[in-house]
Amino acid sequence: MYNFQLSEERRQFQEMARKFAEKEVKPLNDKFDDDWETHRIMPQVLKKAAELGFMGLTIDPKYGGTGADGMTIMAVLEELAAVNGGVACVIGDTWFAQTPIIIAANEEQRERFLRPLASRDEVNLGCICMTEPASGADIEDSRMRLRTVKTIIKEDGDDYIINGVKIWPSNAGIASHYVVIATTDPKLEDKGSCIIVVEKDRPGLSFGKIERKMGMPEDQNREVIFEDVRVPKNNLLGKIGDGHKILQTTVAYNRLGAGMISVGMARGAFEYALKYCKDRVVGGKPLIKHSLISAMFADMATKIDAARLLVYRASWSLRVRDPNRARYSDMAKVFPTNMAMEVTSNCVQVMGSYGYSKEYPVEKYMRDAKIVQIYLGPNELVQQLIGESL
Amino acid sequence: MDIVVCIKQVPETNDIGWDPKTGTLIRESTGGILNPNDKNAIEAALQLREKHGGLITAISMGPPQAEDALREALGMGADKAILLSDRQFAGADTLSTSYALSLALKKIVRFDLILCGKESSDGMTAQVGPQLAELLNLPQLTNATEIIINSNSVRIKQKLEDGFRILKTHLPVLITVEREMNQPRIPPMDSIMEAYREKDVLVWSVGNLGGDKERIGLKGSPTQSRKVYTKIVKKGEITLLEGEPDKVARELIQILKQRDLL
Ligand SMILES: Cc1cc2nc3c(=O)[nH]c(=O)nc-3n(C[C@H](O)[C@H](O)[C@@H](O)COP(=O)(O)OP(=O)(O)OC[C@H]3O[C@@H](n4cnc5c(N)ncnc54)[C@H](O)[C@@H]3O)c2cc1C
Ligand SMILES: Cc1cc2nc3c(=O)[nH]c(=O)nc-3n(C[C@H](O)[C@H](O)[C@H](O)COP(=O)(O)OP(=O)(O)OC[C@H]3O[C@@H](n4cnc5c(N)ncnc54)[C@H](O)[C@@H]3O)c2cc1C
Repeated sequence: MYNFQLSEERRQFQEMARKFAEKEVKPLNDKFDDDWETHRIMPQVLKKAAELGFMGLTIDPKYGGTGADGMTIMAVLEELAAVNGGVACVIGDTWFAQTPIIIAANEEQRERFLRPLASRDEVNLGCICMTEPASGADIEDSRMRLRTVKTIIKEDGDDYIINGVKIWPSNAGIASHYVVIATTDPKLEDKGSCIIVVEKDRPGLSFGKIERKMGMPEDQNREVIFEDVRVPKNNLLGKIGDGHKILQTTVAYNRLGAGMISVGMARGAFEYALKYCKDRVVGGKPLIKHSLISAMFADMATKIDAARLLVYRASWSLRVRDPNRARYSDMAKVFPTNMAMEVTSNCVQVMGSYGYSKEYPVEKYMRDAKIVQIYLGPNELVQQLIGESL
Repeated sequence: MDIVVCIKQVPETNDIGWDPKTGTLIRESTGGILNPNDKNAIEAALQLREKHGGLITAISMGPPQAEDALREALGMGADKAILLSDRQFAGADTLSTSYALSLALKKIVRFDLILCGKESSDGMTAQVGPQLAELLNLPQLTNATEIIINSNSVRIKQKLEDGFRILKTHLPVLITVEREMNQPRIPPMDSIMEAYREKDVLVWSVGNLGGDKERIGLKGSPTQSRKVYTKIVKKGEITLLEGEPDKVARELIQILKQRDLL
């Protein structure tokens, strides 16, 4: 039977993450929007996060990490997102980029890549490079079998030479390790697909301008450009032809993370709006005493809980390798992300113009919530995958 | 320099459940947390260890769940943890708590410094630290906001109601620390993991401690809290007086007189 209580150990991690978010992130929350291009504030936050071991939470202690289990990682992600979805996204995306290495790297590669990524002394972020200008959702669509990928790797002696352009990756430009979905030839579909790690200082690797977005200014998204980038053959994870399979597993391990970021953001907005509505008097009584408003809160509270439970179920199913785990992870992405959009928008609604004002924190949750319906597989695509699996 | 930190697990204060009939705490309804003030004591110990080296042992008397508080101390960086747990300790007041702790400290033998919080967030008597020092026949420095140790001598800044004073003595000593002494650190992730996976919490029972059984638990407690209750704050009606200040002031005086308050 499923135990609904977090173990004491997980609760300690959760509390630690909450304290970090409250102390090191919250005071800066209204500064990130103006810093989207200069990106001066995030490095300080990330330095603190690295010191506390956030980056290596997912990595085996053998390579200097903590090796927390999936449910602990989800509990941590919720706490970060409850204060700031963008910060949760940046840290979540470094874990995302670590996943293919954790899944498919050999011992020598784990030592070489995971140890620096788990570092507490310096900030080493991962960046997962999937999306391309002409291949967005399609690259995450298992049915497309990576046919649309235009990032090409070519053998040259002991090296591979990479050419292509990735667009939108989180942590682009600041990451130390780029985990790239590529192909020897898109016509070969699965058989040509591969995943290769490119370290930041490889000649030929460059970055486009920083994208200006509706939300998540904490996350730096830029084009990642590969022009004859030469990397040793032992940077390839698995072998040529493994790319599609590794990517599918990676995505299954991370869709629920997008779901949990949504749960966190929805909760953050909800808690603020609830407190506000208990104080704000309209029509002679506190807003919360109006039955329509009260019903909205009841509905929101229920949906946030339902979403969280979906995420925990997915996490558990991955651990026990339940045959339906990919579907559970997909479900734990679609419902929570749609829920967060609805809840954050309702939180703005019940707070009136104060909700819409940048002087109050809920509008940011609403702007941030939007992207999670789109990234890590747009919901329409993921819904279709769920449908096909039934 | 070896340090022992005394810590207490307390109920989470924002949702304490009292049983209004029996006047006792409804423990099931609340999660236990590490007494916030004791985090300052642990932080002080960690900072002293950074300067002077040595071992930090966290010790707590409480029910088996108090292990969680000790794990938290281990997560923050304590080296060892000891839980005094036994049904016979139940019902202890501050005196018998201090007595049990003193027996444990005599058993530990090697320590240069004992750190306590000034007070717990539930009992709030601020008695355990001073009583423990007396029982061990050690000098006590209370309400510290700063500790400086120089070889064998200890200096603290003591917070008084209307100022501070500097006190000095020698090791070994017992010090109680104020909340404002420091900002307890956020424990790093791998340290939390280590606290649960690699470190042990030793459990000592009454049998392990020896001492006088008559002074332990309910039997050894001259003070018993008969009843604990939450003060019910009645909310009155609010009357807003509006208009010219002169007129409003006169009106107010009138009302106060009517109610026999002037
Ligand atoms: C509401 C309430 C009122 C109470 N009133 C009284 C009373 O008036 N008289 C009385 O004798 N008892 C009283 N008790 C019982 C008392 O709380 C505990 O029995 C006693 O163990 C600790 O006293 P304290 O909580 O006041 O701690 P304090 O003396 O305030 O704590 C000071 C420090 O001593 C250390 N310490 C305290 N308890 C422990 C422990 N169990 N293990 C390790 N270290 C510890 C910690 O470092 C702590 O920061 C009361 C309890 C409650 C819940
Ligand atoms: C803040 C942020 C962070 C990001 N982080 C990363 C990252 O770390 N790594 C990375 O590689 N990319 C990242 N991306 C890119 C993101 O994952 C893609 O933008 C996303 O996959 C959608 O691709 P697209 O924009 O090309 O949309 P398209 O593929 O053009 O899709 C447009 C719309 O079409 C619909 N649609 C798509 N496919 C289907 C289908 N099969 N069935 C029905 N409808 C469909 C959906 O509504 C979708 O929103 C990030 C983007 C942002 C904004």
